[in-house]
Amino acid sequence: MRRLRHVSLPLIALALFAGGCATAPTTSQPAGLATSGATGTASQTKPARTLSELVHETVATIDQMLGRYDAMLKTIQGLSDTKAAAVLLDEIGAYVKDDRWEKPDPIPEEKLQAAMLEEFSRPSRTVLTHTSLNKELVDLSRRLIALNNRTAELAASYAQGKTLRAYAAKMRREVMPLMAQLRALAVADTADTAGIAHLDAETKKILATSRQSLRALERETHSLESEIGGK
Amino acid sequence: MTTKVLVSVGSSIAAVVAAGTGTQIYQRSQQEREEARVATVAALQSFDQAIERVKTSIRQSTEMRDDLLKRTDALFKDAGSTEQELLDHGEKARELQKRHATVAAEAGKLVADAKRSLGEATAAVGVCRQILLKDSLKADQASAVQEDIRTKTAIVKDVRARMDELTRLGTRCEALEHSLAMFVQQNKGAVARVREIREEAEEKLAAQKTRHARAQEAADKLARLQAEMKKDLEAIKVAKETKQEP
Repeated sequence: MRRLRHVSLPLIALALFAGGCATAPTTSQPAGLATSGATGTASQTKPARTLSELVHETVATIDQMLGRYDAMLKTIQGLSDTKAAAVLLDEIGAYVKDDRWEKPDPIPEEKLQAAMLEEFSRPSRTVLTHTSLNKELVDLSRRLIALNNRTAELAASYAQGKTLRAYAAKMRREVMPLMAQLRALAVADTADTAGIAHLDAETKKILATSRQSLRALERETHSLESEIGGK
Repeated sequence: MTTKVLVSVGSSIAAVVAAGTGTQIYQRSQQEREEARVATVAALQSFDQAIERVKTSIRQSTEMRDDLLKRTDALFKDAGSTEQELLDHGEKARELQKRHATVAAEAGKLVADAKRSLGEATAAVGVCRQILLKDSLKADQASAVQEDIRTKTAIVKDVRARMDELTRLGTRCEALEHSLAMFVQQNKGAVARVREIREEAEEKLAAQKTRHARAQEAADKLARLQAEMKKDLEAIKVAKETKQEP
């Protein structure tokens, strides 16, 4: 029974720890940044909460957890030394070094709680709770690191995203109408090219006909003048 | 006390593990940021290429428009000179009409003279023939009269031939008169049409110049946008390089 306890305890702690690792904050594409380089369109979804709200929320959670940690620390400090706790943490440490650390077996939270109540004494549960709190703190620290990175990332990429959105808007509002206008100009130019060529040909034809007719009339007049003058 | 120490050791282990996870997250975040930067650069380059294509299109259409402007301007000037030449043609046609009037008057006079001469000659021949028919002349006089009749008959034939020729000239004169009238009428129409063409060319020229200005304005806008974009693109690249240096 004691051996079983020694085996179960690290497993539970590990599960709690690994649960925290498994729920690591998933980093997503920076808000406000287009990912489509080919099209250049800024198709992204804005986060529901603002960055400021996210920071405040996390800070409040951290404060809350630190408060709980302090309270639990006082409880632990009031406990007498027990061998069970020393063995427990020793085994946790050994398990951390084990390669199974990376692949924990999923254990439902309810089962863990039930097992804790059945299998462990109050001091052991306190230590477990402390370990759990530690895990939460670590988790929070990790979230804080991620949040810091996320903040830096957003701060860096937001400017780019803003730039990109600005250009997308410019392309949509200025360049596209401009292209439509240029197409209209090109159509007008094409029509003009044909029109000018037609008018040019017509002008030349009018002039050529007039010259030809006038020459014929001049010849005929001169001919009549010569013939009648000679009579 | 041992518990506290062990708790601290456990916390340290957990912190080390967390630091490892944090590093992974940090690296992932860095990777995402790099991907975002690359996507931004690619998008801006795509915009830049699109603008470059539009600029090329504008450049080509500007060259074509320049050619069109030259053609239109040439047409405008040609239409002006053509209009002037047609007005000169009208003037010349009116001079020809005057000359035709003179020729026609001369021809009419000649025809009238010819008719009168023909009448007189015919009458003289008739008188001579009556004398001969009455046989009231002596033999020597009769031969002289007969000779005179033959001469006058020949003159009458000649006058008639010339009169026919004059009649044909008269017909040609009438045709020329008609042609000149038609030419003058057509000349007025041609002048009006060429004037319209000139005005149309002038309007087209103005419209083309406006289009040219608009295209130039568009090119300037695009150039400004492109310059701005290149500047931002360089800034993003420089930011990346600066970040990579340390």
